[in-house]
Amino acid sequence: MSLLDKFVELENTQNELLALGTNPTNVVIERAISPTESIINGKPTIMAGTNNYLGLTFDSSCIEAGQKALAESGTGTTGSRMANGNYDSHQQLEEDIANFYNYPYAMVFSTGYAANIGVMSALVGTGDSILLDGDAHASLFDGGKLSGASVYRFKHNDPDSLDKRLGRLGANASRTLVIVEGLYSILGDRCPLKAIAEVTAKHGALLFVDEAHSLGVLGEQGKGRIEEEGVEADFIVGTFSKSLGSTGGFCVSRHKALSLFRYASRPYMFTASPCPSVVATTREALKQMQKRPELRTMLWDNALDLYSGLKELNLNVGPEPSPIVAVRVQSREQGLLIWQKLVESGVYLNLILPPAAPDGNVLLRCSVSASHTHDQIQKIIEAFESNSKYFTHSK
Amino acid sequence: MRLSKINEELISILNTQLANERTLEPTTDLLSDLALESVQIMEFVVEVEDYYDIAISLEALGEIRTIEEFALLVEKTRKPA
Repeated sequence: MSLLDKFVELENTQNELLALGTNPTNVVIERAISPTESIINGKPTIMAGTNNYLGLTFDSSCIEAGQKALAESGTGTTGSRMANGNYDSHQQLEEDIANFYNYPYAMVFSTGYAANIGVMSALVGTGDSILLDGDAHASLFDGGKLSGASVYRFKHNDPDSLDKRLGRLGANASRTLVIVEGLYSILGDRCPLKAIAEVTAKHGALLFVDEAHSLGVLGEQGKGRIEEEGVEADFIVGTFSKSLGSTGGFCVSRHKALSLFRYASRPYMFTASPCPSVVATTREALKQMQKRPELRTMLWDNALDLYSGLKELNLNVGPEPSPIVAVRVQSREQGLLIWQKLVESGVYLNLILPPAAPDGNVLLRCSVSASHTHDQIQKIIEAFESNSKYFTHSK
Repeated sequence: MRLSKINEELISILNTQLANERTLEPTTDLLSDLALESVQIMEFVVEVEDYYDIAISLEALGEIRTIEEFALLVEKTRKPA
């Protein structure tokens, strides 16, 4: 058997997707017109699956900041922070994010993925344990593998399940990192963070909260689930690629050890640092997010409209309203068909197939933006309604 | 605990998870015979952990494919009575 044989099955799957005309895993955006509209297959399409929660990708002040940095500092850093790529703007961004959370230590990574695997692999190692929520993002499982620690899952959003597992670890519980997400990326449900934090503290473990989908979305100031629940986490990790419309990741902590992760985190040490224009747009987006809390109000108004609109169609939506609105369908084939029909109707969203979706579900996932107009939200609902016959048996 | 009893118990746990009850044997392969997705296998592991009050790490699952291989892992992981 050759190393390449395992790709035969993947090629068959890819061919099935290609036969649809538009491959849901490789949609080409021919031109982005606005935060909520793009040209796909030559046609204006409402973008309802972009995680662009605050719609800042076309914000004029962010664009201006990026253009200025591009002209002043060039296109890239051409190296890692450890070697030749540590610019003062990286450090300013770290100060900005630390100040925003009011935590003393912050580290910026090149992507949100790198932040997750970078923090986890620096913090835990062989002989330590990780307890992960069952619906955690793939990057968190990858971070577990990279760390060399023993990785265990607990039932999604179930503090009792966590409690039992920490109890089973006995004395090793104090060498355990508990990992949850503030807002879960697939079904848009919130973490019962207060209860999780209490259980974690009871066993002397440390708490890591991934706020990738909740930064800018939850809490009075947009700090995420930790703010909403009034919880102190040991490590808060997040991304700049969603609410802030940029790229990059971060971690903030009250533990001084975070500042030493720069010498222990290989995903931080051995990759190029974020380019200056990206850092500049991120810093400006963070300012805009704090300056304009009305963006969060607009986001939630749109989220509630879409969630209730799809629920009124008797579609099988996620457990609670949030800017992530997922609709369960019966099968992979049905999901592929409806996804294709929605794109033809001028609405782009995400098709989530197992293993990415929990419980082996197939989901059509929308993410709402503050920039969606009322008319666009109605058009998304109408597109689902006009294709409702394909949902037979999935209501 | 006898391995055959663990096999029976695992089959019973698995049947509660499957949409349609199946005839399962110790040699049943979770992937090729039952076509379980990785997330479904993870759900199964969580149920097994709670049933036996044990902790099974993801790396311990390794290359386990069949119910009887899983039973051996449970037997190995169980605390001494």
